[in-house]
Amino acid sequence: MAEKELQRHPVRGAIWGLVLGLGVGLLLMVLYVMAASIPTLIIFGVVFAVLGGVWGAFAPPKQAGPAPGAMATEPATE
Amino acid sequence: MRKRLEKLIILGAIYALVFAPAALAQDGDDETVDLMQFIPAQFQDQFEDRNDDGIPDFTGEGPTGREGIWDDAVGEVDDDAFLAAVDPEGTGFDLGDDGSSLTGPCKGVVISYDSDGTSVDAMFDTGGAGPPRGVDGAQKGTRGNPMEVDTGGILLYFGSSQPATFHNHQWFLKAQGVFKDNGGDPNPRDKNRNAGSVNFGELLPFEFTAIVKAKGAWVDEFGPNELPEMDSYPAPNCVGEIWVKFVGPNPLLTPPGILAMLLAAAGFTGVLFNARPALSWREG
Repeated sequence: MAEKELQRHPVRGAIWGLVLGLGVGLLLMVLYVMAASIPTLIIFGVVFAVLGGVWGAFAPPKQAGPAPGAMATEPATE
Repeated sequence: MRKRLEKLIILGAIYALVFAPAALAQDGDDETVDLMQFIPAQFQDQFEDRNDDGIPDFTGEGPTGREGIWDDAVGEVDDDAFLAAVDPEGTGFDLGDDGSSLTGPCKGVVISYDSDGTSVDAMFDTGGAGPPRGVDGAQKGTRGNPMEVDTGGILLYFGSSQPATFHNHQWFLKAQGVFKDNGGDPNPRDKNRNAGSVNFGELLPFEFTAIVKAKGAWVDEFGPNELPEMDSYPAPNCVGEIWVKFVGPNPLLTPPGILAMLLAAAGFTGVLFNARPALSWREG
């Protein structure tokens, strides 16, 4: 019998968070919101990577699709 | 009678909102500083205020700065030396300080232009302990009122240390992560003024926008060794620190802007659709 299993993705979350953080940080710099600074950009990347990792581990999960074989076991309807 | 009164009130309000501020602004323009006083006579015929912003626009070839014999030429040709010199870690720049300063006898003017020679911004200093000022007389080079420089344009400077004359001097100038240069000269011919230009349009591979902190120092009788950054420099000296705003086209259309948008979009999509925990079925 099939059981639901929760798959967490903290590493994926951290990697995408790092990418998002670098993008947001660079965007704020080219738009003059923040002074251009490599250390600030690194801080953005690290903070967003941590947040992304937490998201990948603890965010509300996507629901699973229909159970495998569920379609086959359902009675045929006319 | 009542309708006439209403019309008068409306007309008065329109005047107050539209014409009065313009008139006040005009009054303020009358108090602009004449920057031609800082430009040597032999260059003055190359300048003319075409856009009425109080800053002389540029029409000529511009001055060519004279190099000192101790000027650094390595950073100009060696990429690694340049990157090491521009302080990529950002140490030594106090980004929490929003002000600007320029101390010592140094005086002169810096004017930035776009690629057409139309003025973008200007800053001058008359020497002494006061900060640099803009054409309107207000403090210039602060976080809130930075010196704007067009990354596709040109920067002109006319400066002097008069009445002082520095010998065996060393200097450096750096903008965080963007630019660094240093040099010096024994100055046997007793020069105490210089002029030159920096053509960003030719030097930079692409235009960008950013606000950065820049600083520099110039020290008399330091000798042939490169001037390091110090908490306090031997007197006499000139030491300054300002905020520079690099302007150009739409920030989002510059290579750094496009890269930032791509990274942000990719990261956001990845976090939302590729990293979220998921429930799946497992055969038990």
